[in-house]
Amino acid sequence: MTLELYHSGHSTCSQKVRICLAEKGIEWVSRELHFATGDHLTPEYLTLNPNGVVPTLVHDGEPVIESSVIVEYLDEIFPEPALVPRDPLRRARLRAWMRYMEEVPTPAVRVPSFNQVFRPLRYENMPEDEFQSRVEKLPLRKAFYRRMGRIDGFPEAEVSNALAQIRQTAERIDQAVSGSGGPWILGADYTLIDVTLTPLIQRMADLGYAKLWEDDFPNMTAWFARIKNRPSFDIAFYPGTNVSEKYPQFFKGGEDQ
Amino acid sequence: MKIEMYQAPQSTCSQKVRVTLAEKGLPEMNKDWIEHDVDLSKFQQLEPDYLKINPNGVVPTFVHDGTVLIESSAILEYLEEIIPDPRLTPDTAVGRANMRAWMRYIDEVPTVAVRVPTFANMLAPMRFAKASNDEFAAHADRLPLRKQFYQRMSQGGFGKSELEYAEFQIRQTCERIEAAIVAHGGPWIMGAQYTLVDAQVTPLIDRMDDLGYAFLWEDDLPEMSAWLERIRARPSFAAAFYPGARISERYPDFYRTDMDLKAERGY
Repeated sequence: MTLELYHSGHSTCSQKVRICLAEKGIEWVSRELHFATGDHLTPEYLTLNPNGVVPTLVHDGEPVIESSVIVEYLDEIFPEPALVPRDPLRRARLRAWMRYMEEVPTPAVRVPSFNQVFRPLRYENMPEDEFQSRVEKLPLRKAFYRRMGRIDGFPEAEVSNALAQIRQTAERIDQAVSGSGGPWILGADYTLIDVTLTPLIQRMADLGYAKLWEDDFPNMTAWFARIKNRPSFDIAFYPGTNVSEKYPQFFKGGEDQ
Repeated sequence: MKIEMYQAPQSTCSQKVRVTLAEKGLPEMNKDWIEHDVDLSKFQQLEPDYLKINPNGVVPTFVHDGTVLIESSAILEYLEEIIPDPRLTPDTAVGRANMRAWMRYIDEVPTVAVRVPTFANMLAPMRFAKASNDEFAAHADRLPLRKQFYQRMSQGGFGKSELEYAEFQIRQTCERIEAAIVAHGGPWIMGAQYTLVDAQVTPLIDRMDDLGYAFLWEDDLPEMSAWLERIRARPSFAAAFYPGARISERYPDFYRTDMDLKAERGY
């Protein structure tokens, strides 16, 4: 059996899958893609993943795409330790949480990530027509790039919306941990929703936004401290996977961003 | 087993649960399952009592023997688990993962895209034509999710670039359905088996047809067009799209086709 993961060190969706692999204790082969050279938009990669995004898991030659789907697939083929509740009702609650994670914090995190790091890194100095033709090549999420000014970034309203969405996510985690009795989002068992929210919260912390939860949400803050104590955290976030380490030139302001 | 659903006849996310209920042998509203009508034109989905059962302020909300479940795609998977026959998911882990990847694409791309012409052509003018800028902004502020969707439009709906992008996204969805049927031999998206993804995407395509956008597929995507015919021949379609369930029937005074609107606004 071989498991290959096409991924990127600092991509939050890749990090979701790496945490899951670490929790399961599974051996895997790394195929790292570099966005700067367009590795994710080559015809060969688009055959594996027509959406042109990372990650893609290839299990004995069969590609599996979409990070939420990959982690659920990993739980089906490697059932121990279980990261999905066994009874249908609790599974449905987990899946409703995952839909919220996909709709709200996952796109929200992209706004400050691009404003502060990826936009100045990749696009600010790119000629406008090259930027436009890059955007045209993307199978998904063209509209996201069109809303982002290549020079000015996202407008203030969009940024404040994104931060409000992260705060709402933190508040819901806080309420869930206190409502379920903790220590994890669904209660006693650590599940895929803890796995998949971790990189999003870590990215926001790395960008200097921990203040969105540290002052007001003690249960969520304690949950995140427990998350970072799990061995899977350091395995998934190996050196160089936080954007502040990979691109330190954009972090002069640090916490003041 | 008692199933109740807080829903709206014209809501595509309610429709996809109704299609799945019918496929699972529970076709008849208020016999096989109990409806609690949520009047979206009166914003009942944002009332405090409703937000207690569905903090996202959207329909549907599913209630099984008194236990509340939200998120329509999660509800489809739940129905599959509690009513395993007939099977609407593939038997292998890889097959299920392929189906779920499709479902994520449907959630991310056409589900979001369909809201753009729906609001631009009907709902925004119907609900907000007389609203001031402050009233419109205050409405967006009440929404637990999707504030930014409202912030990208005005009381009159969406502009040219948003509408064109939505059309591109629906066209891409139709092309992918076409390619999937060609690749797997059909007659359904995943091949021989009708699955949750067929149920999930049906209301989105039907909505686009209802709004006058069938030109996006009917001229040059024959397999996808034939798939839609087969979908509509299934008994679940008539059960889920009962009289009054299409948005053109629900709000006839505000209904105009895409062609009328293109003539009027120039795009």
